[in-house]
Amino acid sequence: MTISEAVARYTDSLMAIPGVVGVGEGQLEGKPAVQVMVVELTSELRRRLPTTLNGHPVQIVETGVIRAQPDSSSR
Amino acid sequence: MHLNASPAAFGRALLLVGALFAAACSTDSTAPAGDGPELGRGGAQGPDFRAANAAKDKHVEGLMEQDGVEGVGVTLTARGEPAVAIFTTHGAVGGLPRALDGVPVELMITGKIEAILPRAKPGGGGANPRDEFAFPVPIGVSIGNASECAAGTLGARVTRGGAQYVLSNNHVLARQNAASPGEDILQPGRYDTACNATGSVIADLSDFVEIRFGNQNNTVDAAIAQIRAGAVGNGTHGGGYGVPDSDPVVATIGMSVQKCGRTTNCNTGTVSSINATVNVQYSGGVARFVNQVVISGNRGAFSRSGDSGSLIVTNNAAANPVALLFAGSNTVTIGNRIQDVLQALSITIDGN
Repeated sequence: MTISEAVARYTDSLMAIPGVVGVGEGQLEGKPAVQVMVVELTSELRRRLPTTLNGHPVQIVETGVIRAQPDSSSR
Repeated sequence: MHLNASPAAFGRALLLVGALFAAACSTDSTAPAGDGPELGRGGAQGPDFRAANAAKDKHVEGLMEQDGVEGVGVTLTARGEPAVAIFTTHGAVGGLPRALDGVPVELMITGKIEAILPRAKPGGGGANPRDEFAFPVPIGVSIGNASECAAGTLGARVTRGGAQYVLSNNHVLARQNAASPGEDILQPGRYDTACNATGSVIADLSDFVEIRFGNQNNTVDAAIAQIRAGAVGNGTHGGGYGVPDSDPVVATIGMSVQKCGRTTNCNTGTVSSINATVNVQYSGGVARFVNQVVISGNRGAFSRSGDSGSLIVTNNAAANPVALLFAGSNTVTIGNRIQDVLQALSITIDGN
């Protein structure tokens, strides 16, 4: 399974995990990886997220909440 | 205040300060003799500054011409006597008098006195992207819909069917699907003019891609507004990459990119992931985006609030478009694939 296939296959189930805000094709130590973006890397998430998916490493990135970014007086 | 240009004004300001100081002190008439400065020589009004003022006025021009003198005023000595104050850039300024026309001189080391200018925006580039620019305005600066107090970034000039448009996000130009065609786009956006609609009208909203909230996939947060004659140029201000290339390229992991935006000005970043699915928080709810490009900054955040709409280009002389910035957090920035934007709105980048 290529990295694109792995990302396509696992995105929905990963996004269903509370605290996960994004999944994409990343890179870990030069190798293609499934990048999982989380609001906060809690110990719960550490337990729940796999370290590999179909042989591809999982790269966890703590991002915080991702927001559309205008400067607006009405947040 | 430009002190070197108007020493008299500075002197007057100091006189005011000196007089206020004197007046405040002179109300303490219960202070026992010998305890602190002797005051009240001028009666109920406090010390008599007339001689000091006269000496200052007579000598200020000559003093200001001397090297190391930053300003001249009046003050009180530690003994409470009116004196002429000379402000110097450092401690070793020679050739200054110890008294002027019988009035003592107090030397005060202030260092160089400079006007306090607005802090240069991070990312460098000299120009402040939140300013109002003369026509044609550059890309990468503050814009907004006239109907809301907000501001985002003018991403690029684009063409469609022979007409020119501003490209930015739906949530910058079209108020998250709520706007009607024809609504005015101001430069700067109202958030940068104290919520007043005093910016220039540069374009009128033409078209936008609807953002679908809830459990649906979006690919772009994009909108275009038709440019008013001569209002918008196709390159950045002088501190940026200039005119982008018209040909987009596909983002690859590790690609070095740059952008010029309203908030963090011009800076560089690196593509961290591609083909990303991301849940993005809007004021109107959460929208899921697919096919996204994720960028991290090389020096601090690549983007902050207000950079929405910036064109993300390759970090080289060609500056090929890669993505349209629309979302992010403190640590990552999300951009739509520029190819998806161009296709959704049937537009072309108006560049080199």
